[in-house]
Amino acid sequence: MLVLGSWLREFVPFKESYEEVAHALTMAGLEVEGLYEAFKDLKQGVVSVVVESVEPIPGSSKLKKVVCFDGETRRTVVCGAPNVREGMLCPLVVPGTPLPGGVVVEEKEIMGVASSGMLASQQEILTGEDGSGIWDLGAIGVDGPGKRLEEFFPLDDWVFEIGITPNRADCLSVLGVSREVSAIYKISIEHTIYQDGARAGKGRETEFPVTIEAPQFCMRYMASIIKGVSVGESPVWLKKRLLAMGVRPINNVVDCTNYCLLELGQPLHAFDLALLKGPAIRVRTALDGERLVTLDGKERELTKEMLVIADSERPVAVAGVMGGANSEVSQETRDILLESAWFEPNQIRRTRRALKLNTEASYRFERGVDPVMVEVALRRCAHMICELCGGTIEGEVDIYPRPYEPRSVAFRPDRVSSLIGLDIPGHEQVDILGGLGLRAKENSPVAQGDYIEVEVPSFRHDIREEIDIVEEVARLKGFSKIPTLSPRGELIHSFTQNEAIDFIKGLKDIFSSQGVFEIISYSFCSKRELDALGYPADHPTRDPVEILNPLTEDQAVMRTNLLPSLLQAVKRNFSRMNMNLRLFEIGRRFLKDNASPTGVREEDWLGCAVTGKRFDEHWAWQDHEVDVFDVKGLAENCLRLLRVDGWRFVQDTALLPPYFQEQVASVCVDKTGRTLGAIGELKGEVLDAWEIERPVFYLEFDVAALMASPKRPKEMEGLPRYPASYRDVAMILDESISYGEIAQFIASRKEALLEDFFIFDVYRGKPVPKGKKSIALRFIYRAKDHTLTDEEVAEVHERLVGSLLEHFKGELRS
Amino acid sequence: MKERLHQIRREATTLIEEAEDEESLESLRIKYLGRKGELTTILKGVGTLPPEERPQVGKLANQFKKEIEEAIKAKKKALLGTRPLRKEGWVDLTLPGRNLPLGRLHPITQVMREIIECFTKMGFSVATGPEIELDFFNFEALNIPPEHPARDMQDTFYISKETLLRTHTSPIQIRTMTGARPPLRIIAPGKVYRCDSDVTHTPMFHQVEGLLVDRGVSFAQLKGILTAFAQAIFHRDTRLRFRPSFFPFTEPSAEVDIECVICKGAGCRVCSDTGWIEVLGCGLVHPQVFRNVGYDTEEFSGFAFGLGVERITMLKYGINDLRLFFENDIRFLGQF
Repeated sequence: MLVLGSWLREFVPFKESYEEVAHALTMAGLEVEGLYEAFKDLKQGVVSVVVESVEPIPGSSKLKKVVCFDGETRRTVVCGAPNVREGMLCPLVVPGTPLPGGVVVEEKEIMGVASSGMLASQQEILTGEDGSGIWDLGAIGVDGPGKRLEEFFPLDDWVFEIGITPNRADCLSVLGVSREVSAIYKISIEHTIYQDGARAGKGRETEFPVTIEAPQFCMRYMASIIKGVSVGESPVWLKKRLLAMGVRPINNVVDCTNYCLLELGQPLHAFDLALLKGPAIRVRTALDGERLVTLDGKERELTKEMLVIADSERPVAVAGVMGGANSEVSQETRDILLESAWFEPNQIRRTRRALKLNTEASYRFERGVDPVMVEVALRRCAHMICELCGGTIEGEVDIYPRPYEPRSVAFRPDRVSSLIGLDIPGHEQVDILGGLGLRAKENSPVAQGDYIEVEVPSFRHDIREEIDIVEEVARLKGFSKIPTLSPRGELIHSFTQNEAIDFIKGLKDIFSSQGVFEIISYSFCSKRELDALGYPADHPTRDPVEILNPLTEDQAVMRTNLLPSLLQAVKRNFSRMNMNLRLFEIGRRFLKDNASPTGVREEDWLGCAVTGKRFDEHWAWQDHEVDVFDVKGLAENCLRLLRVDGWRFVQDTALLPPYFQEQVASVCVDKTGRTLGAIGELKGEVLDAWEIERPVFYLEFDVAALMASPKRPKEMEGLPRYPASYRDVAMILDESISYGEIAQFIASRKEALLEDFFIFDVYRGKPVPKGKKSIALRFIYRAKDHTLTDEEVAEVHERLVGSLLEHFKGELRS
Repeated sequence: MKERLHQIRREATTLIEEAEDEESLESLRIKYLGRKGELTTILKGVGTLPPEERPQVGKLANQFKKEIEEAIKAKKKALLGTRPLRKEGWVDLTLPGRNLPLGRLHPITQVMREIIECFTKMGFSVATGPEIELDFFNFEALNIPPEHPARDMQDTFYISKETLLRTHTSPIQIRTMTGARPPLRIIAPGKVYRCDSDVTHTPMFHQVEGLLVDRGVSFAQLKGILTAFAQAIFHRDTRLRFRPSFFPFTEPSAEVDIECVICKGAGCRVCSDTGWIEVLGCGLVHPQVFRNVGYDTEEFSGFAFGLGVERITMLKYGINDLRLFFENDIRFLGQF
């Protein structure tokens, strides 16, 4: 909200500078987000010029071509003022300068003359009321051309931009902010500024028919009938204040209502009385399908959830939000009905949200206006209208179905001190509260204990209980005065941390320590991306949780799989020529689940994509393209570090997600048969959906499954005391025989002396026949209690090799 | 003859200057100063000159000889300075080593861990909750009833009338308190969502929420914990400023500014010339929140705070564009 500095100072005559006040307000909870020079554009964009020549423009009776000079630059402007004459000193608005209404003066051609600037009247540049002709600066003693406006006219003023928190509706006015300044600096407020008018503007009771048909939404409706106004322009002093606080002047009647809104925080609305059918006012809910053209010229369709002000036939305003064009005050208006009311905040909020119509009025009503101010503002405004627009107050109506009940709050000064953590004596607390208008009751009815009861002013509806008093005392005492202490208390062992937190932390460390970059992606993706993963149409992956109000189609659903996130990252990196990638993400996927209170099951998953070269180019080694064994290696190391017991990879297409190439993929299971995840190469048609043209290898783990799978305990095994013997064998086997089968067969032989074995070569090509491969294995033999003899080793080894050759129908490679 | 001497000196000086190694210097020495060197020859022949020239030529030749000797010596030294003697079997260890590829944790994870570690050292435990939340936990239980203007402070993504993407990690407060009795010290990190996307907003970001409930907890203690935190995360001399503010679930509420990490309070672009940067929001837990979870407000008090991890990461690492966090460009990720 904007507050004009001079206006504020009129209410509370503070001596401090605007900067000091801004800081003090910020530290009291009214954050001053900016302190700007008011009318800065005018002050710098208006310069005194001397008129050098005036010539008529052919074809125009009024417009003249004027050459003027500011001491440096000579400009030609077109001017229609009757009083412009040679030798006159007057103000020029330089091109590029915005005028108070927002229109920017530009260089343009008028009647064939290039006009670069505008000669201005006092009214146009907010320096006086005279709008009949251009301003004669010689008459006020300006000494010569080239002087900027700020040098010869005091337009000096500042505007505070204050961020008012939603609880402080009472601060949405000059009066409201001045109450804070008054409490901070202990300066009293000049209430007479508006109270005198409010007294003078009180009308006698009249019989005008006002009915509140929805009293739950309207606590009070007041109206003042003013007859015989003449609608015209507002005086400059009024316009200046409106403009400085961001409100565009309309006409003197409307400007008066806006002025009082800014001054007192009470929204007011003036109807043209002649246009009200009946004439009558009904505060009622709208009928479905009713229509109203609001003052902004837009036709609004109303619903029965909205509150309107209607006459005897039709809506004439959206209550508390905006008036209707059908009853707008115009040049022809003679008699008006001035409205001042208290509307229920939630109702106003619902309406303005449904209509997407934020106004100064709705902003205040939905935060809660002061029910007592309703009458003060009405009368103040009525009086102001009579003063500025002529007219007389015929009478006023006050329908008040639910009168405001004064409230009080009790607090214990000791409790306040202990919650703040600073001992503030009771009398000081009472002083602070008094400064805010919360006066202690002399004979407090709550006499027990150490309670003090304070009356809560009608504008502070946010103060309801003791804690609100704590806040008021603390913020006005100053947070900086509160000491900085360490909490005390017992060491807490009652709360145990969810084990997934540390597990995920460990998992991230495992992957990042293996050269993989962690990424973090948005949890949403597009439905199209999930469809591209290859699942059948009725699969849960393709039935994601949808966001009702997504920002874009690409972020319209919650991901049911992490792969789209990883592929987005691959795509983006490829487009930036980062071609060698090892990326992983641990995050949630979201699946519909009726058993969950939220209707959604959230599961932590790990996704890891690897593509490009294994290493960046390096002088000392050759780089290779990664393949599926790179992701398998990552998976194996992860399983080892987690000590998952009995994990293995199985090529089971039934368990394999459809985005993997069947021939180049495998599912990881633990010894109980639980699926932990999968590895493999992604299908080309899946990658196509992200326009990725290079192979990408992918690994995914279900974090919960990894966590649940049985783990091998850390238990030391004694180191061998006798040496081992090594024997190698190379066999030619059929291509279709997998290493897994061979390994399983060897293990099944349960040879006691065989300590370990591994594969150290796979070879295809000459002289190995087509359809066959050569596999080289190394066997490690060792006895626990003695050094093996060659004979012992030979016996086991030959038996093992013989059974292998027989089982797999292989032959020794010579 | 004098002419000839000057010419030799000019020539020698240039050649010495241009010499690239010791070898060529040595051959220059021989060329001029060797037994049959040009200067040597002239010096030897001084005797054959007319007597009036002898002293002059002799003096000049000796002077130039000295000069050339010194120039060679100086050049030799300079050459030695740039190219040390290489011994047999020398290995060029300026070549890059063989590195196993390095992975990185996302900068958000790194800073999140720092924050968590700071609080766990002070006795807090980590708690988590769902990212798709019930309106009740995200708003109502936190004293934000439907139609409350405070709902405008957070643009919400809705899933249905009752479910939404959590707009803050504060619902974890409620979930924790409904399942446990005080004393409590928890820290709740996680992703949060707001329906807002521009230069300074991403629709998803990370928050850490903290909650402490015990007997006799005061605002002064809240100041203590947060000061310790800010000084651990930024700098041990970091100054803090607590400004009154409003959150429906705390009262009194405060926003906390730290002295600008860039200009140290002098005023700069990062802090909009104020010298202060807002880093978190906090306050004493509102009694209504305690009532909502069935805690006795007379017996217990507490405080809560919430901070944006992206913002703190940006300040710590000098990151100037929020969107970089979720583009996942490895050239960005590799810097931290």
